[in-house]
Amino acid sequence: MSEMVTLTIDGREVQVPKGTGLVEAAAAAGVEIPVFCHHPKLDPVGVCRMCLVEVEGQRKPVPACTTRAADGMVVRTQTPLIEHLRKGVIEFLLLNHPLDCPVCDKGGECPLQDNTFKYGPAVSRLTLPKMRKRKAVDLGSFIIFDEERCILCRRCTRFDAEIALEGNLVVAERAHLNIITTADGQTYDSYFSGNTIELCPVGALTSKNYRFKGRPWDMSGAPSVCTACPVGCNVRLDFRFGELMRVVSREHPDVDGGWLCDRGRFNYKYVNAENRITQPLMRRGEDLVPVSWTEALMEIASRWRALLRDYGGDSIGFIGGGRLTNEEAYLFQKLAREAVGTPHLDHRVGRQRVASWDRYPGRLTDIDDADVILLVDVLPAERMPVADLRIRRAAQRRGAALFSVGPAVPSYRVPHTAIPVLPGETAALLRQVAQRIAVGGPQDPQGAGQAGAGQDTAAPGAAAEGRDAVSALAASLVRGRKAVVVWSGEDLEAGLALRELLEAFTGQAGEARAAHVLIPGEQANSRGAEAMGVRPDRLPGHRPVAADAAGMDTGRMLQAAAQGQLQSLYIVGANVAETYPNGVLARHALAQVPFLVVQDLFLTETARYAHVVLPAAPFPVKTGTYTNMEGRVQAVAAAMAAGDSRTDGDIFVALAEAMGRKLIPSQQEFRWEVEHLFNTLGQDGFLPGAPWPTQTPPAAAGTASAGQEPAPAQGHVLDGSGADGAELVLVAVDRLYGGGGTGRFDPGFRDLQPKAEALFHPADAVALGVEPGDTVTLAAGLDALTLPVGVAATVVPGTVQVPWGAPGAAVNRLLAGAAWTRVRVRKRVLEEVG
Amino acid sequence: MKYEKVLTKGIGEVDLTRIENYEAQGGYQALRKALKSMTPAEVHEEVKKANLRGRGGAGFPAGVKWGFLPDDGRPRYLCCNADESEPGTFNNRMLIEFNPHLLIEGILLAAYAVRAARSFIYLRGEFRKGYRVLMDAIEQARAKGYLGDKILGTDFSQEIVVHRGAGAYICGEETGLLSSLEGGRGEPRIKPPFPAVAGLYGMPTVVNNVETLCNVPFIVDRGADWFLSIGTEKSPGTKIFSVSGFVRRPGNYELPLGITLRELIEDVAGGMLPGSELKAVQPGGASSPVLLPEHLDLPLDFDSVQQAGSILGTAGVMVFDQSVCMVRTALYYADFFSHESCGQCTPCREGTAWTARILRRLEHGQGRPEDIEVLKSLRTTMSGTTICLLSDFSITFLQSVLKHFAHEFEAHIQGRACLAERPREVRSA
Amino acid sequence: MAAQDAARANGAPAQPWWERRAADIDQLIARYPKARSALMGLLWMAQEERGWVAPEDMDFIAQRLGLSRAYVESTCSFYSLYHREPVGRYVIVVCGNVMCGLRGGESLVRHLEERLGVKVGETTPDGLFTLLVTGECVAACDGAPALQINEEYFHKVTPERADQIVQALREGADLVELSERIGLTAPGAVWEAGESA
Ligand SMILES: Cc1cc2nc3c(=O)[nH]c(=O)nc-3n(C[C@H](O)[C@H](O)[C@H](O)COP(=O)(O)O)c2cc1C
Ligand code: SF4
Ligand code: FES
Repeated sequence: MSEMVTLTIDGREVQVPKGTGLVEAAAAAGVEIPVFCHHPKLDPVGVCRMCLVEVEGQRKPVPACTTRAADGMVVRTQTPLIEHLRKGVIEFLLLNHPLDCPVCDKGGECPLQDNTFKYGPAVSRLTLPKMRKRKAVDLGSFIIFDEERCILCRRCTRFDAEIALEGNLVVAERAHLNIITTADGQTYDSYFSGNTIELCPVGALTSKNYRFKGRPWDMSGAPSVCTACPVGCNVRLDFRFGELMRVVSREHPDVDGGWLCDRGRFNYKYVNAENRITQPLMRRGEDLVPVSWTEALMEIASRWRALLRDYGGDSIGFIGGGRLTNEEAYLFQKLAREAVGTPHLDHRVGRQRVASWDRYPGRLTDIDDADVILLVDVLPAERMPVADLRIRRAAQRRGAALFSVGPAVPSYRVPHTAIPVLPGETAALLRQVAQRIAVGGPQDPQGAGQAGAGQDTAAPGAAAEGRDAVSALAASLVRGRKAVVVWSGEDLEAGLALRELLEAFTGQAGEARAAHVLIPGEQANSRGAEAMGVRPDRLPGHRPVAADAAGMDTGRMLQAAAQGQLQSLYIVGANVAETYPNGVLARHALAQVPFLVVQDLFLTETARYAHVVLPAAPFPVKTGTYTNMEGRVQAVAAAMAAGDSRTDGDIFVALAEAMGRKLIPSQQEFRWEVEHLFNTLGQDGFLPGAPWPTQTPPAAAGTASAGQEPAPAQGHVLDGSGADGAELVLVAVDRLYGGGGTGRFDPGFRDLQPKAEALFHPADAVALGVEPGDTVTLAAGLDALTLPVGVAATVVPGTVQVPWGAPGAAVNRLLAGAAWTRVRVRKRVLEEVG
Repeated sequence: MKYEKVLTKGIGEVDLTRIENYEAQGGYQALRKALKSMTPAEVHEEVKKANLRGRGGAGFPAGVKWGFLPDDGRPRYLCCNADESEPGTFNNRMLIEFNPHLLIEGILLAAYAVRAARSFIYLRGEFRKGYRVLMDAIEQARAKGYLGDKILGTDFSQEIVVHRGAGAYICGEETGLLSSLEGGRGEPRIKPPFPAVAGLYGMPTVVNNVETLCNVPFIVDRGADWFLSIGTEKSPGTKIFSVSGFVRRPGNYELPLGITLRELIEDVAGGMLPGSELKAVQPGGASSPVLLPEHLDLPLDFDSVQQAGSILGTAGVMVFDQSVCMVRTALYYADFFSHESCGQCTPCREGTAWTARILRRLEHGQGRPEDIEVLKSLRTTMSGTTICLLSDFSITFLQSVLKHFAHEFEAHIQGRACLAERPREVRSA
Repeated sequence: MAAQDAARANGAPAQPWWERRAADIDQLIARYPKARSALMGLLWMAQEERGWVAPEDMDFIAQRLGLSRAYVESTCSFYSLYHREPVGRYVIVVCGNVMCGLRGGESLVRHLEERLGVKVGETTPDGLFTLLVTGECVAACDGAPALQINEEYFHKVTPERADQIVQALREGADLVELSERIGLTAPGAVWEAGESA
């Protein structure tokens, strides 16, 4: 593969792998070639012309960025001609550039500034007034665009076209009127827009959050890991006088490839105490009043000691853990099992049942060279955004066959075949595919494969006609050698079917097949919490608990609390009132339980029910490790002071102490204890996944174990049945900015919360006689939601989509323990509304 | 007329848009001959032997270019460059509007020679009539079995797709043309790879000018030797000169390459207009440096014109008289190029706009002495530094008039009246 | 020309052109190895139907070809002949390049501005004429000064001839036929006229 070539650059001989670009080759020889449009992660376009060099045998100077190193090449980068041309390019670029460096955010880290200083002319010869363009254009939710500073290197539009693959940001017009812009009337709203700020070599694209906030030279950067989702992108936190100013990428090629999503990049203001709880609160009658830490801890300790005495440890339930570090999660279960002595603990606070699976281990980089990528009941952009970039690129560049099976269709611009199914039908469909593979796939794999490659004529993402889509998937799995499956880890029945499918796939005769399953955790460290044994049926390291000794899972704990069988709940970093897929039960339990302790960053819906609220410190305060969705253990070190809040770990230790127990002998020994655990568990920095759930105890009513509710009737497109509405299947869809406290409590994100609406398939909308602008009531069980109507062709007929975690529309109120349910849909008529 | 018309034979006398008239004067005989009695390689060989040099401006031998196509089984495409938009050039338009079948036959022969999977005509958007004529001619040819499946009963099949441009000079540049044909902005691409290796949709592609392709039927029909007997040794064949400006008979004239400028202007084009005397000539479109009266006896072939410091280019011969102000003429071009640059490359995007602004100020009589230096300095920073040649083109004329008519620029700077006799108003818009 | 706008004018329910011409659209796309190549052709179709390319046209084209709206706009904006806002029924484009400019184009523009009562870039109140000057050479230098009306040629346009053409169109003459009859576009026709000029 990497055959080496030898070339000479400015007299220095250097050896580089064949195909290396001249810019990189020169760097290897210790020669700097100035660039603007060139970026190692983007395809070379050679438009800025800053990198021109002389190559022996070429009659014109050539752009180094688009020229590949070749054996025996002789390159000169410092001839009088080249120096002259560089001056020329810079003079051209500065002709109409405002030169407002003193007030520019980029000042101090600006390639234009640096190159001008190093290679530019002494003076501008422009004796005409500068041509003016618009300043401070509002490009999107997070970005301000200064047209006058833009040098049209096109890095931003190329990122959009090559990496995000969305086609939102473009160059328009011609010649000197060239302008970076979006479609008329649309803003640049991509989950990845922030990356263009980092790519911009001038101060044209700047962050609204960071604008005029600080200059690079008076900031201190600390390495960290993003905790907004289970991908675990590596970041650098820039502080100024102890205040978190911005989050930028700290590239990890195998994790984030140098990119961040906008949530990870911009959702940090809460860290600076805005809207955060910073003092312990205790209930006095109706309201929660600030108290000292000692008071709060003493109160909890004494109440719990009393409960232990009167009812025993198993009268207390522990919920949460997916937001903690591995170490904290370990302490959390230790606190439960050793200090309090309860078997009831569970990190699963939403719809997800498993956060990992040891059967088909996968890494994010497996996506890159997969032949087939299968998404099962999951929208990667919403749950693992930066990893979705790998999926998009594999589909676009390598022609990996991308399929999605599930009740919600991902919106891709890359070639993609959607196989929409009603909730609960996923398992059946996967089994169909498994059977087709078993019988050697369809007759004509090629032809069938086309269903996925229709991008030339059909709009990508168009749901291919049911049957051929299925055979296309089967065909791809017959042709393909390497398959990567991304699965939500929710519906265990689908999980079982998936196992059958992958066994059929890997069991095929002929060449060896490789299958990898990736499960994005519901919380950033769900997988870590799982490995640390924050489950009623598992000890640290996934060791099973004896069946008779197993405790209750979240569902059963809430059930028990609601029925007065639990005396206390300790909920850590979880907003079960809105995330547990039975909102009615959850709220009832929270209201009923005699003593509720909630530990969180914010006064969430859940915290409002608490008797004691403990203010946890945000992630930059923590030292420890996180386990990302692929099992990778990544370390972080405290980068800011805790203030009045405390890290969850410290709180656990203090609580134990208050109860007269010692959770850890000493920090030192604790570190050894955990290190030992990791070493016995993992290899080369990865923790293994969990074994398939052995005993799934029979589900008590209203709890979420395995997709047990009958698969919904083949409800498909409605006949406009009945005045009192019709029955549809409710599908709660993930939204990157929805849910979690960090989104909703961050001033920068409040306006970006998903819009609470009920989305119908056009046909269903017609049948129901509703259209955008109307409102409908969705009723299920004991509760109902009234929502504005939306219509989208991507909605699966027979279903109604409601965003998960939209403010003012806690869709979990309608659910009965599983990720979906049937709802009665009724159009609201005016008098009702008014 | 003392020279035999070849490509333009019959134009203005018979309606060659009717296929039977075209056939009546020997049309489609070459196609018949090639398909019945020649292999693609033989057709290619004949064209190579004829040393048919590209008429689109570069003068590169078509036969050699066809030889660059890699033989790797990938589909190949043929693109006829009918975007004719070089200022001063209007012969492709005439061929298309008045002799469409010749172009079609030429394309079919070239497609046969290079074994193209499909052929495209990238037609300048302004040529609406040309579009009607071509679409009609294609259907006539199809009806007669010259085009489509199993042409003339052989197993050679070919479709010709006419693709309309929409007003962008740069789409005449072969790679800009390809970008445009692929349904995008007509932005030129870095070469290498050349279209022959990675062209339309990344496939091996030949791009040839209308007039180039119109020569092919005659080469096939009458043989390379006949072709070599016309014109000069290094520039064989005829060329359609588009003559415009201050002459009595502006128009398209098909003449053997190598005829002198004097003969072209004084005999063929009827001489200068009454009261006009020759001041300067651009022999090859907007981007060709000026020739002066002293060059009247220069033979108009690719190499001689080059030696005289200009280029034959598209043979769009623009004749200027004493009334023409060179500063103003340079401003016209500067406005044109700064409007037509695609905008990718810094030197072109910024340089063309800057040039135009400086010249406009000069033309208004508010120039500054340093302007001359700046304009001259662009010769190095704007040529040989960009993806395509538009940037180079945009200043060649300017550089030549800065040299030969420096006094006119000085006059403008000193605010003195324009040296040209009949100063004209500054153009609107 | 603007068939659809016309339809709306006389109250007829305006069926979008892309439904009416679905067959043509499929045929156009089928001509090319890759669908995207049909983008320019579809923009032309929109302009023929409406006289200009409206936002909804771009939405349709984007959706039909599976491209983003921004991509379609970006491409459309690259080409000078696509009008991105409403224009008159007849768009008069005077060649503004060297030869036409030097041979009377300047005065022709000013003459038309007076006759039509609009400045370059404007449309007459009756919505009949839009006057433009192009920097591109329209490849009619032997017929300087030349102009195009909806891409139909007219050579050697003296002020008198300009009035004649405008008048004829006001009286509803057929544009193509008019260009053929008095456009002086045939080879030879030009310099005969040229000599007498
Ligand atoms: C800016 C620019 C504009 C051009 N315009 C045209 C044109 O309008 N017509 C044309 O045939 N060639 C044009 N060319 C030349 C083409 O790039 C290409 O060389 C030519 O079409 C090849 O055909 P030929 O070899 O038959 O001449 C242009 C080149 C440049 C750099
Ligand atoms: S030189 Fe000018 S026209 Fe050519 S590619 Fe560069 S910017 Fe575009
Ligand atoms: S860095 Fe090479 S052209 Fe821009």
